Amino acid sequence: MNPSSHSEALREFLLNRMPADQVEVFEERMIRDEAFFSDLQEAEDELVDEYVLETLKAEDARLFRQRIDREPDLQDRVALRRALVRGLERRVPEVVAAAPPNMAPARWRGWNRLLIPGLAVGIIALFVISFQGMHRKGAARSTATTGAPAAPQSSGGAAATAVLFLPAQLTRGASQEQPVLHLGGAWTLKLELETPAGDSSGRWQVSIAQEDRTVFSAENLTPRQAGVVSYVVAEVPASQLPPAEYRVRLSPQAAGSAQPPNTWNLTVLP
Amino acid sequence: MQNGVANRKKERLTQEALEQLLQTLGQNRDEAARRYERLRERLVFFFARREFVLAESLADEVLDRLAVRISSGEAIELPESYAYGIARLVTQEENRRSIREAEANRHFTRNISSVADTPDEAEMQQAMDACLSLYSEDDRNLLMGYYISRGRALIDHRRQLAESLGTTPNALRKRVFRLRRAIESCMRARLAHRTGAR
Repeated sequence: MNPSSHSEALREFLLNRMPADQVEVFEERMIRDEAFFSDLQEAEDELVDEYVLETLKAEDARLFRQRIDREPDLQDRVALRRALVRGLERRVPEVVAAAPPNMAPARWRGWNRLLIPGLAVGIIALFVISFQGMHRKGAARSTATTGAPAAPQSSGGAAATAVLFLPAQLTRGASQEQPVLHLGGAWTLKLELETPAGDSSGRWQVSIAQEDRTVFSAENLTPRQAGVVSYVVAEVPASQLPPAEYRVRLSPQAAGSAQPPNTWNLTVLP
Repeated sequence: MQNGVANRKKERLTQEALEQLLQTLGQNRDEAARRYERLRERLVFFFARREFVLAESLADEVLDRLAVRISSGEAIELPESYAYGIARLVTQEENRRSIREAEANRHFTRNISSVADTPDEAEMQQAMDACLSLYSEDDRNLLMGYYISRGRALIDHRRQLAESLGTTPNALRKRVFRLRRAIESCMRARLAHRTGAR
């Protein structure tokens, strides 16, 4: 099946337009084949996006609306997506006002010329220049000597410490979203790991593994409290987390504890 | 409305049965747990599409039955395919139960979350701000760039953004998908704790 017809088939399934005999085949494959299910999740997420941004064709929007009306989880996802989009829109004026101070004047004037025809185009250019700047810094770091990291450079705003909060699983088998992280110019990743069921007692240990190799570990961590949330903090040098997929594990320090460990899959992007 | 799943004669899931299920899913404990979670996720999706409000409970029911089958000595080489068969059976049982309940109670209504449980706009934006702040400036800029346009300009701007990153529109879409899911997962967790704190 070519990519285009595969995408179309996924959409037909998700919009309940697929013939019943094909639905059964699809569902069986969805349960059996993890990669196929991932494609399905992505396709459904795209539908949520298009629905919220009102770019769906009228008939597709009507069919998707029927599903949203009947599936509480889809209602939640649409609400979260609307909140995310509105929140991002709110931040756009901040991006325009806070243009990177280390941009050369000639490029700044060029950016302003782009701004005149339309704000959106100008902001796209700002992102383009920002990302090109980050790419150059990335290239410089990759040519530094291995071992000791290169000296920090003025980044015009890149944080020295990146912070990532990982919530505990809420039910016995809650679906585990896979956090994704881009460390950029950060030197340290401050991991905040929620303890299971708000457990604020005892000591905890954290380990991070890539495949079968442990790349980081910390022990005797005391939980902190923020409202109803109890969490431990582990500060991980960014140099120990090159782009890859990792397994983060939080477990009680005491041997033989009945408390099962919490684990997360974490992807660090290049 | 009584919970038919809870009141039905339920096969008892022992810790030993769960352990055997995990061993069937993988020799490595972490890999088995991950495979268990992913299978559960697919089962929840299966039941949610059928508009079962108790989709998570039904998914757990399927996994419990699968574990009991394995612990009783049944050799199951393809646990996911076997789980699909159980899911279809549970669907039939649940449909019959729903029909019986609907006939018995003509004022049957869905157990949808009450209005009081729905977060308001301010709470949603607070959660969004808190979660977005956990990610790097590059990630935040990526999302803002991805959603900056509307209408016909949207596709062109996203293509330009992909080119500026030296990637394809498809790869950009996948990257944004992973980022969105992580942020929205964070928002759900924070909003759920908000509910618990009330």
